[in-house]
Amino acid sequence: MNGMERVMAAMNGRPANRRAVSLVLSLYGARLTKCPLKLYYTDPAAYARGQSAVYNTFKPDILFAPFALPFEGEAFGSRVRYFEDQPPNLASPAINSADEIGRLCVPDIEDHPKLNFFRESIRLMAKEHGRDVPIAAIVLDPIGLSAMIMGLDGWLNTLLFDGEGVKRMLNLVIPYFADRANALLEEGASFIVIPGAVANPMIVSRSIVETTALPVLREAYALVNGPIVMHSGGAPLAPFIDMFTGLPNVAGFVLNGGDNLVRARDAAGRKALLIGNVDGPTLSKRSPEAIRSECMDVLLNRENDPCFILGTSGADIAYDTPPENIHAFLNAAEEEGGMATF
Amino acid sequence: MADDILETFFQYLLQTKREPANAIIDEWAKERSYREAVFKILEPALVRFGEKWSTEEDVSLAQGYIAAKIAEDIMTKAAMERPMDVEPESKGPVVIGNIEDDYHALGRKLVVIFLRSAGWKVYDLGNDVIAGDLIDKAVQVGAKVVGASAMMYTTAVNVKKLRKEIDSRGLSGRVKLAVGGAVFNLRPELVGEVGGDGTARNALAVPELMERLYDEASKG
Repeated sequence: MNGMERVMAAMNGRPANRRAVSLVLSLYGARLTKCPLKLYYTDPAAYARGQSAVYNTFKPDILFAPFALPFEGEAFGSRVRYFEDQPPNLASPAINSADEIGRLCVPDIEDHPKLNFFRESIRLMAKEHGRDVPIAAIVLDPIGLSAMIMGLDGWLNTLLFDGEGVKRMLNLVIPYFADRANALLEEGASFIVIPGAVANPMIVSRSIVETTALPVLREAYALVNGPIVMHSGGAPLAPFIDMFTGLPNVAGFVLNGGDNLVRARDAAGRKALLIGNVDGPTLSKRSPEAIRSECMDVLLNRENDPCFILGTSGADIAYDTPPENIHAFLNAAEEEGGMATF
Repeated sequence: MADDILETFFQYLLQTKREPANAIIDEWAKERSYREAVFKILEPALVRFGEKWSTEEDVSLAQGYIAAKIAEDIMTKAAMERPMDVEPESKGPVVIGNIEDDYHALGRKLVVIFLRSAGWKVYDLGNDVIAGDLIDKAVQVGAKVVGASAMMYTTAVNVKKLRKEIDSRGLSGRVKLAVGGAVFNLRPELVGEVGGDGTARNALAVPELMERLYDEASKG
């Protein structure tokens, strides 16, 4: 079986020759190809070369399109800063409050250079690897995108006190979100991963999630022409997963490090895909043996769960992570493969 | 009576109701003072809120954000009162900032509000502050605690530079290093790895942390 077949098996609850493995190695491709990050995050060919190196080195079961969420804010006018050893980050938002929404210009999905970087990267990745391995495109939902454009404090203030501002902002970003997600699917993305970092009761209150975020997500996700996997975005997801299970096109969830797997499965239902939940960004700080042991614990916990993919949680695996740590992760799945009972 | 108002005010904090929370304090202060409201209503409510935030999974960042805004509203009104019987900003000073390369400002802003509400003199240097600048400021103003905020692992490791700066200038023990941010909650062992002297689970717990670190620094 190849990665595509393993992931499809997990999504459909069917047996596979071993557990599928998802490692967020978007950044790591730059290390493997010794590509400067400014080039890596602006040149689709450089990015695709990096992902080919990831595939050839580790054979993960999912490849990731650029994990560079601040670029979505940049397309609206936010300022982004590049680094030598980590993905770009948001330096300042495009606007600071709902009063400035009128200044925003919605970027052209077809023509914006930063958005084209994602599209072209996916096109190249799909051409090279699309038959063997699914390609995950990472897109912010309208609630998270608004924070990337307005800054978290400005957006929280709007969500809490300015219903009209919320409507004006979402009227701009919901159609943009759907067009962008569908454009990436057309280029060859297999599914859309959506970090729900803001639409989470740990960030905004449960009542805001229920009254504002869920209706927005319901409307926006229904416009997407492919499967969606909701990502914890770094906040606990297991306690709230039941809130998101009925959303249109949602096929599964990437859990947060520390989320209780049993609780997550109970809340998500038997058939939802779950991915997790070994913390990815800190893989560099553990020994290969410790990583293998942590992975085996996760696999043991999920040994009879066919809709589970062993994966890293959180953001990108760090640039300085030794390759042997990543191999240890993969080896755990190979090792379990022989004794899997699902 | 005070207990009733405290309970009502606490519920407004939880429900992110900024205007009613202000209104109840305005009414209370008509016959007393905002300063009294700070000690008798705001502080106890914030302590209770902080305990809930630290221990329960359904208290959100948005609720903390609004609690900070309400605290700021009331502290501003208290500061406008004359005569003032207690000197504001009587503790500290402390210097804080988001560490080099970190731009996640909200947590730091909440910390500043809650520290000032608790009477601390705070020098807030903003986002993406290099270690040398934080220590220069601490030396200049005589701060015994420096606070560094980082949300992600990739930026949290830059706190090591701050530890190195403190040690290389011979300030170890006399200037304590407080660290905070989401990644330290997820990976508590990171506090020691980057050389931190302590952390707090949320912004409301920071004044207590500062008290402890300030005491330790004062003892040398």
